[in-house]
Amino acid sequence: MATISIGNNRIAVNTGQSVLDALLSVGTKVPYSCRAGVCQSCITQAIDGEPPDIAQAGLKETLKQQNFFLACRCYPDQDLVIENFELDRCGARVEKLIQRSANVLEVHLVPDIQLNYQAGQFITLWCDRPGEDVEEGRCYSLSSLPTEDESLIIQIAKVEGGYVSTWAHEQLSRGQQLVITKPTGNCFFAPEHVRQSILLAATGTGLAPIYGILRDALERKHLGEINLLHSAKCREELYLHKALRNLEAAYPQLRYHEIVSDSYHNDSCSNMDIEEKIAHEWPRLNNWQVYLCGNPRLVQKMRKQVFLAGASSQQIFSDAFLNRHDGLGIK
Amino acid sequence: MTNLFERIGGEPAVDAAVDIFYRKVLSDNRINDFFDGVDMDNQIAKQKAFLTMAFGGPNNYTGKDMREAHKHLVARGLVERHFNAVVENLADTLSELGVESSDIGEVAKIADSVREDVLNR
Repeated sequence: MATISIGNNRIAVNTGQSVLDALLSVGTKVPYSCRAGVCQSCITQAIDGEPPDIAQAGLKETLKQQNFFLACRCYPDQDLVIENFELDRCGARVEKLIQRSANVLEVHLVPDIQLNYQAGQFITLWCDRPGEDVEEGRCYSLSSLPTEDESLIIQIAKVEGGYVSTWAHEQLSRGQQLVITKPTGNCFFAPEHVRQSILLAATGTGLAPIYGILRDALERKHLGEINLLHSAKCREELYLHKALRNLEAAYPQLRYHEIVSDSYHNDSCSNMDIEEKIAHEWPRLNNWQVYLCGNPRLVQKMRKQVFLAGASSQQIFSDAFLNRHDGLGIK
Repeated sequence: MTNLFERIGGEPAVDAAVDIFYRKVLSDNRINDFFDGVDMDNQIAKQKAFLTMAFGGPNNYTGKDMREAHKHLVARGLVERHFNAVVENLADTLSELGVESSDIGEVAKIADSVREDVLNR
């Protein structure tokens, strides 16, 4: 008989009983539907202990690596501590601020505690609304690499009317103490093999996670070709242009493609939109791995496109910068 | 005597079939309007559940679920010919994967058993 720990609760799982049934039997609110390992509604994460392989069948490799599993298919042979879905926060200090372009502020944060993460995951940045008893949170993807950078690095686009981005652009200062939620997300580098061809496509500050994933791939000596596309409204907003050109010169497997959507500035850049460029250059993507980050409308469009071009649904990773990652917390 | 689900190849066969099947559905102009703007990950999970059911595998799907899930599509004009197109794509997927034609017939029959529920009749 194994024991499941969730928050402060300990729940005994009888032999032949699934984790889902054990959780439901004590009134834990777990989302579920098919009870057959298919719909994935009951997905949860083991923070300690290894879920059995059968409970991870059908999950993406990135989720398996993080010990996510399906509660309905989990008949544990050892004790597990599982995520209780409560927000996990910590403090962080602003170490450095770099204005990457008129629109993009890069923030380096040193967390109060050691955090394990993968380049490309995201944190939530919280700020108080003065005079009100609420705080605003927005998610920002990490461009930093845990093995190389001491700070968590995020890139914040100025959004018109955006409370957190305006606050960050106008009020953050070096040394300031902030609250963040620990890194999470499943858009990070997880190739099937070292020679797999990779397509990385970013719009705007979708480049932050894509840049992190790229550096991770290069550090792990990925040998397959890597094509990175970045699209922005104007040339000045291709804000890592120089760094990417330098990497391209150093790594023969890397090609960097600039895309400026405003046709007035397209001189040497592609005059196609990012999805047209992909359709044109890579009509067949069988066995490729694809990462797509940024504008939700474009990410959704590109996902469908690369899937129809032959990329396996398990090999398409995306992070649409949606409002659903946003949070409003009551203190 | 093995059952249909085992003969087709069980869960790995569902995984192999789901991308091929969904790609066919998205490329089929008779029905792909119904899939405009839907989240691909959610949709693939649903297609997996559907294929598992059609392959005779373990599932908990009820007529009520099927009715609820397709109600808004029926309101948008989902009728007999769209249902037939999906079954056709399913049969094409299986024959592409080398499944015996007698087994394809059996899958088509299971898929057909949800026709009335899907079409909310």
